[in-house]
Amino acid sequence: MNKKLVDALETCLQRMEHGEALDSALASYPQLAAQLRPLLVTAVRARSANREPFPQSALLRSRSRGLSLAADLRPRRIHQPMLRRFWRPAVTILSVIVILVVSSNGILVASAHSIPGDTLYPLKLSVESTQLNLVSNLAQRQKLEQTFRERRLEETKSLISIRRIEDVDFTGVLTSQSGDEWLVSGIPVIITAHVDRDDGIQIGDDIDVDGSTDTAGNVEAMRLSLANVPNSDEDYPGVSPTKTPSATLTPKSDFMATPTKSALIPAHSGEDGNQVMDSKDRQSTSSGGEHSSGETYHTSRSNSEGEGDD
Amino acid sequence: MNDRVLANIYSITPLMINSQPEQEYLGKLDSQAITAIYNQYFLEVFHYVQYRLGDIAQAEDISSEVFLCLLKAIKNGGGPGTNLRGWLIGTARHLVLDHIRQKYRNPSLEILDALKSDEAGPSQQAEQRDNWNAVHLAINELTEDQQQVLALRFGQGYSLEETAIIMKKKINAIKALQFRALNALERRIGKENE
Repeated sequence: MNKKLVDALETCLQRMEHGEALDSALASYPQLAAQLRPLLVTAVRARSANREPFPQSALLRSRSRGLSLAADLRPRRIHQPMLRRFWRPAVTILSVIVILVVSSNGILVASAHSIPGDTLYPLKLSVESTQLNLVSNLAQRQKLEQTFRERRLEETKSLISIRRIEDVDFTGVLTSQSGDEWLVSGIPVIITAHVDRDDGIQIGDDIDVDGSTDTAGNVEAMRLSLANVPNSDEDYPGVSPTKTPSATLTPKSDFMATPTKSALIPAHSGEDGNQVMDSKDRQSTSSGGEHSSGETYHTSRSNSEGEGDD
Repeated sequence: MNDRVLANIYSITPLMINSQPEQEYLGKLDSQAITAIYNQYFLEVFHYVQYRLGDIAQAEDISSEVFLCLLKAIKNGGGPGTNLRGWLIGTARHLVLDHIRQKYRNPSLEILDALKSDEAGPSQQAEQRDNWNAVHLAINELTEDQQQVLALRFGQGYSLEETAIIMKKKINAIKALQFRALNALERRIGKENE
């Protein structure tokens, strides 16, 4: 194939494309003009053959078909009705709520068994605070406070048993004083020279102990103060008494001081509790006949006054 | 998607789809992107098919089918890579060939009628149609590659480079093919005129 002829044909075609006349384009190739002319004429016929008017409606029809197909091909979620679009998120939200309710209930149960230092312990205190705020009746409130005081004692004992060092704040009965070591509701409390304490604390007093547990199984006191515990007819060693009507008590029952909330009393073992009980019994015995219906009876400083024992 | 973006994607670089966002618009079968593609390329595809078949009704059907093929290919994760126009013309070519094969197997008077002159129309239009019919009949006797190069160069008005890209040949090969095609076409038209 004559490359020169091929190139000349292309050059002429381009010049004609830009509006140049056929003869003018051929003028550059006089030697090839005879061969190029019929090809260029054929090219003009081939080019002009396609110029029929384009039906604009063809584009509109075709585009409409294409968009319709595209809509069908897109992910179906775009065309889901409102109900189907929202039911899945709604179920998800509902599931989360159910899980939260169930788990929060479980968390509350779990927090009830927590002790200082546990993750859920702050929740336990918050729940107790809320419970107190919800109670309007004074007697019920005192009963609840007594329950919480018992809990603090139990928690402190638990901390001591596992030798965990944590800050503690509890209320108990001072049952013995032996040098720098006191015994408060069965819990050994170490007294240092730096302890901030109220004056006049004596055996048998209800005292607030603010301190921290140590690895030796003691509570190192930071502050000791006389507790403001309501009087009660019932008086138990190691537990702050709760005032209870004694209308049904007989003189004999005064001595027995039958507990009405035995389930709430922390388990006491050892000699201290018994020792105090004996002390109370003795005191009750000494003044038993003086108690009458409607009067209150509690372990207090006055009870231990004159006893002189430690 | 605003017009400027569309212009950047589909008008300024009509041959190529280069960037990732452009591919993403197509991949999502975005309505505006599809509309832009139709507006940009439908006429070209239509003219190509019309040039190859010489029938407006067939050209519309096949051109429409080309774009539906595009949408289905995109949906299936295929479709054009970077050369959208080349993909469209290539698909149109396959559909045209399928149509021609079908026509040979099942000849239809309707198609032949379409190639006949419209004697009822104005004389100038009738003359043009006669010219086109003669050219088209002659083109139909060329090889497939020769028909393709004439359709792209003289039907579509594509440059040598564009034609080379679509036909996946070198420019010199396109030049030579074009020369042979015009020679062959000239001989056949000359025979008809004799």
